[in-house]
Amino acid sequence: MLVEIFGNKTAAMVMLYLYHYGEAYPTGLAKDMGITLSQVQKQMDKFDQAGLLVSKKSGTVRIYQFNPKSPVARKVKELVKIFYDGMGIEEREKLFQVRRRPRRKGKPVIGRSQ
Amino acid sequence: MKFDFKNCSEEALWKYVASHLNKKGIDTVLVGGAVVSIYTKGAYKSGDLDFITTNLFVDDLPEAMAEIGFKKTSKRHYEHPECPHLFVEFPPGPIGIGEELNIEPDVMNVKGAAIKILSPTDSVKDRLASYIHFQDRDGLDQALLIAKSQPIKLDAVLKWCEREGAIDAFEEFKQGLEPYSK
Repeated sequence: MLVEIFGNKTAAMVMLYLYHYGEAYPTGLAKDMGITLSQVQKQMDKFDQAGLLVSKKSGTVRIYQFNPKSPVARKVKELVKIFYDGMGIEEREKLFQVRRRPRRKGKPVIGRSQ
Repeated sequence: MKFDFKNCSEEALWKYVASHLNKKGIDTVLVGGAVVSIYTKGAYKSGDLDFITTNLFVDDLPEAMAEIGFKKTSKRHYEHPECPHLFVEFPPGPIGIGEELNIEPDVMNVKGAAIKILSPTDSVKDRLASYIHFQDRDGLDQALLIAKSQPIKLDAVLKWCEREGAIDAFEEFKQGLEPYSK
């Protein structure tokens, strides 16, 4: 149903990914989710134009997040949450395998991609 | 009289563009940094004017802007060849500041056109939102600049900060105002 609401699978994946990780850069998202970079960039650009996402440059990378100032983005995030919460833990672990939270340098990761 | 694009201020350009669009049936509200510039009489320089259209569907915006010499340079930016120091942007609506959606802008009559701008109190909230959500200290400084230049409803700012879960930001804002409240 999330795919139908957002119009395509890439859009739905971008939303779920942002909800899970809090922020994303197009190359990382494309690689993690197995979507082409151009599809991801096009979709993130659309969401950015709609005011749902904001972005900032960090070095050479553009990092996106839900627009915390926008009341509309907040409601969209709530909608995404309904579907995110509806996923099982196994499905989430399968979909979001890569750890993206801060981690001590050199600390080993067991059973997940880094 | 011809409009002086080369030397115009944010306020002059706002009045010129907004009244033109109003006459074309396009209702706008000025938001963002240009509002700070206007309320502080130029103490803050914005560099752009952010207009939010209150009409849900606006198809003829590029044509209306072209009539006054503005060319569309990206999906939401417009530039005028004689006005390199200011560009115009149309961020997506509706107008909202955090959880607040029912924003009542201030209205000014310019040559028969009712043009709209965020009130000083809502502009303070808007700037504080940047500080709260993006850790942008410029946002706090701009909120203080407005509050030092214009009467604002401090209670309304407090309530809004509470709803945003950002009472610390309000306390910092209030502390910043103290030297000026004596």
